[in-house]
Amino acid sequence: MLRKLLKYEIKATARLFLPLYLVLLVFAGINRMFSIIHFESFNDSAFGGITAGISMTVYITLMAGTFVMTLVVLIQRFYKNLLGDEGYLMFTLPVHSWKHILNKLIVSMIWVTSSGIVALLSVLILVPLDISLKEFLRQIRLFGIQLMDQFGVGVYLIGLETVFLSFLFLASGILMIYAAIALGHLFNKHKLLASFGMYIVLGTISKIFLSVYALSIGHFENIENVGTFFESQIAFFLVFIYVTVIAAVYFLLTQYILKKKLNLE
Amino acid sequence: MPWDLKSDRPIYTQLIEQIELMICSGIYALGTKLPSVRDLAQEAAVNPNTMQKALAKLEEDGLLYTNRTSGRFVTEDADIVKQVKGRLALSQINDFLKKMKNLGFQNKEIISMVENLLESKEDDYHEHNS
Amino acid sequence: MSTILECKNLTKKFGGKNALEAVDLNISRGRIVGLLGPNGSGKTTLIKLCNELLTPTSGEILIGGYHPGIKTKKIVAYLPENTYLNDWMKVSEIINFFKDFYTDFNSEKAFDMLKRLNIDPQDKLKTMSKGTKEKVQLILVMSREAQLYLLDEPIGGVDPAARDYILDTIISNYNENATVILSTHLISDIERILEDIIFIKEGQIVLTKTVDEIRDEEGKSVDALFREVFKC
Repeated sequence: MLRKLLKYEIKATARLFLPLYLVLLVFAGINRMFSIIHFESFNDSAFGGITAGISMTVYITLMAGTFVMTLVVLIQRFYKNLLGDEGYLMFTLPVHSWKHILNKLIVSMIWVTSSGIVALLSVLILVPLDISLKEFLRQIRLFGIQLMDQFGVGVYLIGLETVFLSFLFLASGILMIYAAIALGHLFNKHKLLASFGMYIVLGTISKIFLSVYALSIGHFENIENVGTFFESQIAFFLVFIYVTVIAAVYFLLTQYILKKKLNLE
Repeated sequence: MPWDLKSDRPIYTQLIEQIELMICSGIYALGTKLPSVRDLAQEAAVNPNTMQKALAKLEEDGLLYTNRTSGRFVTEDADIVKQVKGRLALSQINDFLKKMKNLGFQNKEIISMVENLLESKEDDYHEHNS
Repeated sequence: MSTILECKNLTKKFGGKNALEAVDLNISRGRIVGLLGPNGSGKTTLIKLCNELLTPTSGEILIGGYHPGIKTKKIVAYLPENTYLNDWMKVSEIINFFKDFYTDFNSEKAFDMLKRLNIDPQDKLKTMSKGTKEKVQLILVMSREAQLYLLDEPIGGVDPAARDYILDTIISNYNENATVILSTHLISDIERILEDIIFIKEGQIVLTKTVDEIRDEEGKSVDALFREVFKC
């Protein structure tokens, strides 16, 4: 059933994201063209300057729009599809409520990640390749060598762990939004406003928890100056525990509300 | 024939009466097959269970019979239909008499009125055909 | 006759207020049942509880022997008052959606009904009128071969022709294994197709009888009795 949910969730969201990605990349290309033409003094003419200016503005707007839309869709798909009128359909499907949450979470993570990748791609298109890419790759190689010096072969593991933890952080961030929306749903009035308030409350609680966690484990502060491979592994493990606990609590809280406290309008 | 169901009497009894009437007036002739319960219920816009109950009662009375394989039929026994016809006629006449009594007519007056009416109708009938 | 829906001492509170109070019900298979009561009497609350859209404060519900959950959702077809259709699918896509999630969904039946109501399967849900959306929803629900149909105010907002079609669909869809429970406050329109009726008032069941029992004992229609019981 999760696979079927994913199929429809991706369909419902792809129709919004894919065209936007396409337009963003196209405008990055157009701007690139203007910058090439620039060398042939096209921009000297008033017309050329204005056109290039407008095109750049559109690109920047699109770039901002992509991130805003990623966030809006992430919230909307949970708020509207599950807690709005569509919830009457979704919650009477023979599907466990945790699968609904997992479904939304996975698809949101996919779009946040791809929005990031597409944005990066558009920058690479926009900025002249020869300079930027070479420099970029050189920087990465340098950073890699530096790490290799410090940790040895373990650097690959650390790389993997970093990616893994990033996704875990992303997941816990999204789950915090879901939990806030679910808590806001418990209010009779001003549910969106209540959700926003709940987001701040959850954020504060998470920070308090982090402080308590950090205090109770003295090693925790070492995380910022990790010297050896072994130390790095301990740091990763401690961060992993923290994020997992936070994410699990948000997930279970959301699940509990959807299952036991649901009250669709 | 449209189904005419009143809202203050049980639907079940009304269905029985109406089907009896349909059989007596020949809409469903002797020995013919009846539509399925569901079709009849749909036609009359009533609950299939209620229609089923009415048909079962008619079967019990001998006006219908079920052939296990091919469905439900009107009886081939003309006598039973005749009896039902007689019963329906009697109840109509009783209703009529009751109303006439309420209006204050005596038996003799009623008979002569009916006779007169029938004669004039007969005349009409002859005129039409001449 | 086996039971399809059973409520035992079912109570639902919102805040401190009782929306349903100690409801006991027992509904058999193969019936068409009218859940009748004025607005705010608890009809929708009862139906939502059966769909696990609400959780009982106390007491329990059994559908085909199970508490509301995955197992019951597989055998219950629910038509809510709200339009729950999204705005991005075509009719044919939502039909596939139902087919994907409900094993008892009969697409052929759905396309057949769409044709009879002159709805193009290629139409987008977004562009449809509210009335057409309601019809599509009814088609989706009635195209399932469910064991319990819970229809919340199915004839509330539709025109007389569509209303007749809905009643016709309910009758033609009848089978002795399935029960249809429909809630409404417009009784005279549906009285003829009902077998059992439940009167609900301020969260309590005040009467459960068959339509013919009422007519026989009271000498009046259910509609007339309803007006008497719920006189303001």
